[in-house]
Amino acid sequence: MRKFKKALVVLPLVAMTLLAACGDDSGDSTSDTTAAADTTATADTTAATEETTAPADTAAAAASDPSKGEIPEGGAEVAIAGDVTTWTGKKVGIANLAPVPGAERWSKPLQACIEKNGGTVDYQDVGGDPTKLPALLEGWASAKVDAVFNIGIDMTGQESLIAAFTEAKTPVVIWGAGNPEGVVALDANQEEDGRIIGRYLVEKVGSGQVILVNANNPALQSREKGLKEVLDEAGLELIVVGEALGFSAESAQKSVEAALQANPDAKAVVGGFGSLGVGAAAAVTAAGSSAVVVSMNGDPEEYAAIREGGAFVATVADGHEFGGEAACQIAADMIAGNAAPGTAGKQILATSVLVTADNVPAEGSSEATPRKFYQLP
Amino acid sequence: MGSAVAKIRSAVGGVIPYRRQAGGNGAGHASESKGMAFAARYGTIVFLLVLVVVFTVLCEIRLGEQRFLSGSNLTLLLRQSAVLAILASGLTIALILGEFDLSIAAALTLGGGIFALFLSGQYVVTWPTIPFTDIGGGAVVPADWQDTFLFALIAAAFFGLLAGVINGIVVSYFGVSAFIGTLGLAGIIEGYLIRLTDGRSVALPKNVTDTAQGTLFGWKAPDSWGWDLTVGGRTFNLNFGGLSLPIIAVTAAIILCGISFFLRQTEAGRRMDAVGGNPEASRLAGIDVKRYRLAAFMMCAVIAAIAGVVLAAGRTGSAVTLVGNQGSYLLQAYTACFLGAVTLREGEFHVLGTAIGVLLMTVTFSGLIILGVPGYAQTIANGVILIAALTFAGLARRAARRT
Repeated sequence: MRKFKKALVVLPLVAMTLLAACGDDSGDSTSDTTAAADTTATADTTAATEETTAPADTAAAAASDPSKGEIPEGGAEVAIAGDVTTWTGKKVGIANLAPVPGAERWSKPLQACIEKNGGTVDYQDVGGDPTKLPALLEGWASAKVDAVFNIGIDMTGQESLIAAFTEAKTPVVIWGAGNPEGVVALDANQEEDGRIIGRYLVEKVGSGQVILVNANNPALQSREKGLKEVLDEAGLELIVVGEALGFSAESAQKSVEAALQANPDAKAVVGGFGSLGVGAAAAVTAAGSSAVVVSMNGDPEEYAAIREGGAFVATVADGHEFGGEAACQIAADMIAGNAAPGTAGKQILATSVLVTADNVPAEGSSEATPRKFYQLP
Repeated sequence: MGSAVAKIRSAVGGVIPYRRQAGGNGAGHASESKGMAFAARYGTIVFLLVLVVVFTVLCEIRLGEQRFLSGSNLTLLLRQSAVLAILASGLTIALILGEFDLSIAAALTLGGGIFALFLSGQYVVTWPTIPFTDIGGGAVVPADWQDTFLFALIAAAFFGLLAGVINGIVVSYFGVSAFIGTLGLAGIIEGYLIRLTDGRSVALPKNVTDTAQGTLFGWKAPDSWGWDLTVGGRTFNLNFGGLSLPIIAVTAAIILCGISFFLRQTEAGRRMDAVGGNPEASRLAGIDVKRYRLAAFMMCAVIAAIAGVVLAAGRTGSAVTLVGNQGSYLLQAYTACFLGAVTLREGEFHVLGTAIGVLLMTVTFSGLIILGVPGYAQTIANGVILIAALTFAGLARRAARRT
């Protein structure tokens, strides 16, 4: 009885203490993700994978507009070239994170480029499970493939396999999987994507509250950092929700619905990823809110939402498709005996494009602005 | 095989104890015993009410106005509870018979996906073609019938039924452990859906989603539905204007009532309860235990498929066809069922308890976000609240037994 009385006192106090601990929601939580339907997903906790660049200049640089596929200030262009006819008779392995548009926008054009030029592709989908990657890499090492590609699957712990591929002069080219030593790492500039969408929102809404529904993933955290930088400078308040809920649109919808209850005057909602933005748009529409919805990635579902003309108004299209083509050329060039382009050890970043109703691609098409590749100091 | 309920009790480590024995320790402990019995029986409900009060008060303090206990948020809670309530109520049937079904999230995804594929005309059922001939290959039913709402709904339920039949046969008749058998089927469904859709979401027609996401008769409570409540010198302005009944919440209520009626008022339902209570005695009494287990899996899967339809049409507007993206529903459904098993009836899974469990989870989620609790703290708080609710009920139950 005494124990029960004690519990009656202690447990509600513990619960209320936690509930009352309404700390700030600066969105600084960083934790590894296990779920992944993210084109740029990486669980690399050592990730210095994202650039540590000069802060964004909110006034658009006179010479370059990063929202139009141009290189941001401080970036040095990297020329991508390679004789793709080299692929004739070669065999490669492509590890795809998940059968989702966000990942396949890189891996499918890559596959098409290689196969069109006479190569053979062993295309493996890990279904969002990064633990399958080691076995794939080991298999390809045994099979002595001519090149290995990986989209979005964390390569932490695979250093020995990467070293083996390096020794065998087998190029390993990745997108959105961090920047481990010994690979050619391509990616979008996630932080710049955040800045691009942030500048768009500053122009669109001017002031007020902005809700960000995000997932606990290093790439998305980088986007949040860039977004926050721009919004802080412009005096907009950023409210972050949903960090623990993964990439599901429905989870994002639930989070945003509740967030709109608390902040009905929010002017905008940002989805840290395409599916999160789509879920957020459903929540905004259901709530009858006048908030605009934007996100980042450039997936077909986002374009469809923009074409619908509802709450969803813009996204930042990462250059996945162009990244896939670039990977095809880079690896071909390396197989021919040349070094990887740019400075070894630095990520090669692709420029992004802001997509709105003015330039949204037609159904079935992807954003076709030619992209440039660059490295940051 | 021993008592199914006994297995579940041991699995949850004493949180769901045996029924309290008759008799007591004398008149002096009578009132204390009644209090403990009340806490044991209604502890979870009390906890839910306490949580509502806490969120209401904290909302008033932190935000300066009432955003939690308001008409619009209550409507939202009903909307957010609907899918999980349907899914968990179907799972309750399997749990009553002492079986675990780990394929419900896959069945949910399958139901939504098949519904969307038929409704959008991307999937047409055709006769098989006889090899080496041109005979066959035509639509089983005219194609323009197959993209109607009713046909799509029946198709979704049928695919759910198929999943349930496979689960039931594998577990009941082949003797495979339910954990393994249903997990295996979940993998099969996942691969099948990827084969059908390449992992893409399938959009639903706007007229279907507009209807499904609407409210009953379009009714909304007037703004005059507000009261000022003064407690401890503080006035709370409770405004229930805007409260409405979402179609999907009404659908969920009908389904839950139907399941509850079936389990409590029909002979088949009572036999299912008997099989769950003591399969051996049921078998000796002439009940075909295997057949009722098969029926339970079939019902569980069909209801899960319908939950998928409600999710696609009534919440997201499109069907997500990657099982992994819906995986959280599996754990949530089990959590709701186990919360329900310590509510009102000691150690028994039942639909009303499951519904209360769903409400507890939805209220917690909503309250934490409205109060601006950071994401990592929400995850911790969810776990704390779940443990607190079950611990409170369990301690009360033990204290009641001792007195």
